[in-house]
Amino acid sequence: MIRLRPLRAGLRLRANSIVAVAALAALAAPALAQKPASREILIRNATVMTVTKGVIENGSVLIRDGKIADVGTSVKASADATVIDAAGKFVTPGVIDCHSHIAVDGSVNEGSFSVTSMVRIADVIDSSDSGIVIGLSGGVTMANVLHGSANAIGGQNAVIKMKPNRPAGELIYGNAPPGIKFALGENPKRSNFQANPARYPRTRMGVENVIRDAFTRARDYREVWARYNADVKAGKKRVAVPRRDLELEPLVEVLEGKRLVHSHCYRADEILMLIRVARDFNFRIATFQHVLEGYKVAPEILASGAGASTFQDFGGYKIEAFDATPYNTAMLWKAGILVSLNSDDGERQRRLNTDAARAVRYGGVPEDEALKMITINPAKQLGIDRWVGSLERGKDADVVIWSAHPLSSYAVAEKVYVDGNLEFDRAVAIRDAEARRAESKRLVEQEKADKSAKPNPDAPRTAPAPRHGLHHDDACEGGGE
Amino acid sequence: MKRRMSVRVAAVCPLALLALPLLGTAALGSGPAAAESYVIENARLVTVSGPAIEKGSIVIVDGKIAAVGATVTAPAGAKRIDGTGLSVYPGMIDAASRLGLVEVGSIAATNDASEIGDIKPQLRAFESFNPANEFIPMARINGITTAVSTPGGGLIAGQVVVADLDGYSIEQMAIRPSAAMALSFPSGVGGESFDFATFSVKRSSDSDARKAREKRLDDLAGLFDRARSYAKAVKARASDPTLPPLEEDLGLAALEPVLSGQLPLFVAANDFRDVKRAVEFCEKQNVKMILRSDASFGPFDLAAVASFLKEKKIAVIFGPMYTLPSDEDDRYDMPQQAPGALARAGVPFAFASEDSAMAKDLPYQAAMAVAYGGLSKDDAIRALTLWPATIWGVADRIGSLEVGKQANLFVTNGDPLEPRTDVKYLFIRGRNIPLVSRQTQLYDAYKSRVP
Repeated sequence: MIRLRPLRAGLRLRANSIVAVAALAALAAPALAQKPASREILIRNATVMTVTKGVIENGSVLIRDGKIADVGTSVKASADATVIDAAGKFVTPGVIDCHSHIAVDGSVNEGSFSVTSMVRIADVIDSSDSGIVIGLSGGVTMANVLHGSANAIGGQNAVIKMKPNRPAGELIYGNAPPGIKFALGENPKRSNFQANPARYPRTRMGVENVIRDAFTRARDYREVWARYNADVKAGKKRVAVPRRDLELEPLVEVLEGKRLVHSHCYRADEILMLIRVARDFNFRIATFQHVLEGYKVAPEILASGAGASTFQDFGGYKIEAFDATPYNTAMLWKAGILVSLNSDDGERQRRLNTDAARAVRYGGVPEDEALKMITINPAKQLGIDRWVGSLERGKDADVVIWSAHPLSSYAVAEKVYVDGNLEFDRAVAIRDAEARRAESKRLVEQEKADKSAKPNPDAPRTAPAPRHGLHHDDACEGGGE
Repeated sequence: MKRRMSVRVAAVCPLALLALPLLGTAALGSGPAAAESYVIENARLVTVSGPAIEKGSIVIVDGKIAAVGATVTAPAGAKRIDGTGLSVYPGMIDAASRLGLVEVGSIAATNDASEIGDIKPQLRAFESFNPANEFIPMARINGITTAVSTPGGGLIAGQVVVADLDGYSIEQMAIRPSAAMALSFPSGVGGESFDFATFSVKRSSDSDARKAREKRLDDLAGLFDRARSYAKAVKARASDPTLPPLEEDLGLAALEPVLSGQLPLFVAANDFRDVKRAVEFCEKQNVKMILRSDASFGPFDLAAVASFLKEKKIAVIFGPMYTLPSDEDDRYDMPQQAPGALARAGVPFAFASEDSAMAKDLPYQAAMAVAYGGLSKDDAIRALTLWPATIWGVADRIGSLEVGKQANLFVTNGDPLEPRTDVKYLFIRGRNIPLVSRQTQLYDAYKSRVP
């Protein structure tokens, strides 16, 4: 038995108890203001790491209406601007995690078929997931929320902004081109999971065939529609409308370059396999994800035009991850490939900054390049670098104030702005948690004192939702992510 | 007693007995020969047992630290290492590890940490420790020189081994072949768990869990009683050979050192309610206890937890620090607060990876307790060196830079808790270990791929 979580976790989960109802009322008020008090926020006296335009000592960042209004040493703010003195602190753009499974309601794997291109992560975004706050606490402001890796072709992704407890639609980043998850190797093979009933494929040959077959069907489907549209255009009468296929439509978008492919992979051979399939069908792979053996085939990845989003220093947990080396990042980078670092895990997500630091140690990636790997590079891979990923005038005000150099083990994110809103403040988070505990204690005491209430500690409780944010590649829910 | 012990050694350590003639004079835990002498000069020496020496030298002779100080005398012929701008630290200890026991986590064939069955006190991690484990060199590259490798699974998983991370065999590597008995304390806190047998999530209330725990503890107390009776019978038979011969029971025999106070119970418990119950149980059984915790004590003030542990004189092994709070309502860095709270209360503790592949991350995990939890950097280093050495009863041999101790140490170009810092040299029992691992070999093999 693997322990998942204690039942008492989360007052919000005890909706049918007296305590919970009272507590919910007490805690209903949002911890942080949803809108900045002033139109302008000025962060000043900081070491400003713009990522794309160098480091500015004693610099300032001006936020106005959710955008970065100015960055530099002589930034003028209006008189009513909220001023934050960040002397001794470091300011960076928000960290972007190119591979995450946080904020998903329920399982991340529609693990029934080997092709599930019809399902959409955007339909199951859960903004109440505590994983969002954990991510924010490590300076993460955006995440590429992907379907799991149980299927050779998984579901459609959602690129989100880290806005806890907002309506789900507000999290989804409209500027991001749509994407889709692919997966190669052990997970779509179901090598480490109980597959009941047994499911095709079981080998890497089968994985190749599943993908090739799906794109063969997608190409035919596109042809059927092209013929139909041509017939209609030509004024032909009594033309039968082809039946829509929600599985193949997203794959046609891939063929037309309108949907980005993010493919989970480990071994060098399967990386080359997908490059061959993509070449045969003339589509581009946006990113190879994890890509732990990418260093073995760096020239081929470069030639394919794909990016690489890797674990900096995490491997060994399964045989396809046994040739993991923390030098992978540096080797991919030196080959000229666009590299980002991802977490795939709700805990690792908050320390992507120190993962970037390890890229410096293993193979000598320069510090500024390492910082790019968690900011502007993932933004490029997700097709959103015009709006996010660096501190530049006009970009979204996704800004982090760190207590120390962000590549240090000792750096803690103190304030995190998303679209100019202060979504995380370490001091407030601590104060609120203490207030929640005090309130919980008080209510328990009150319940004890109130004899007439006769509380039954064993009253049936609402079953808590499975905890999110903890997943890594193969962690739980019988999935593989 | 004598007979029992000799039987046990013969039964459990046939390899050790066979190996002795081959190894010549090498006794258990002596390590490969360290012929060369070294002197690391003009370095910052972080002795841990005393104040740091800002500019000093350290001499290594016959695998031991021969001198530490601002001015030292090195033997003629000692190899000189210029330590200018470098720092020397005692080797780090992974205070609860899977190093040597697990190779590829997902492949059962390479997992020798978790045996089936519930009560297995006779099992020893010593017996399944693979000196060629690929993750050992990776851990060394980050400054880890010793691991406390711990079996898992069931209520009593078996005995932990304290091993230096260099050697051809566990006989050479082990400092203490058996340092504690691992016990997974049954939890009396309800919750969800995933049952692989039925492939479904099981839920239980606190009171159901408590009842189940008490039943388990009754069984455990019964087992301990049987082990005491067994020890008595063995003793009686040893002093009176006319008594009928006793049927040998390896399991009960293995519990004797625990019940006689020679071997602590290494008790895994997380929620503070379970911790308190575990301490109460061990007190009643009159056995020594070391607490093993993932630092998520549940909805309790850490100050209260710390003062309780202080009062009860319980040392704690924390790991891993890559942990989220067990309760979403808690502060987001709750587990990272725990080490600092314990340090302030004066409770001895140490950091543990609880892993094989991730053992290398130990110093970075400790850094999280500094970054988030107000643990001082000095205490973080102590909790990676001298404190685990003390808790595991090996402080006479490792844990600090002191004359006479094993030369387990490493040399860095900066703070070893910072991921940008490089380890330049690493010594185990005076051997200058090449900083090569499967990972660096793969780098060397592929960095200049042609074509």
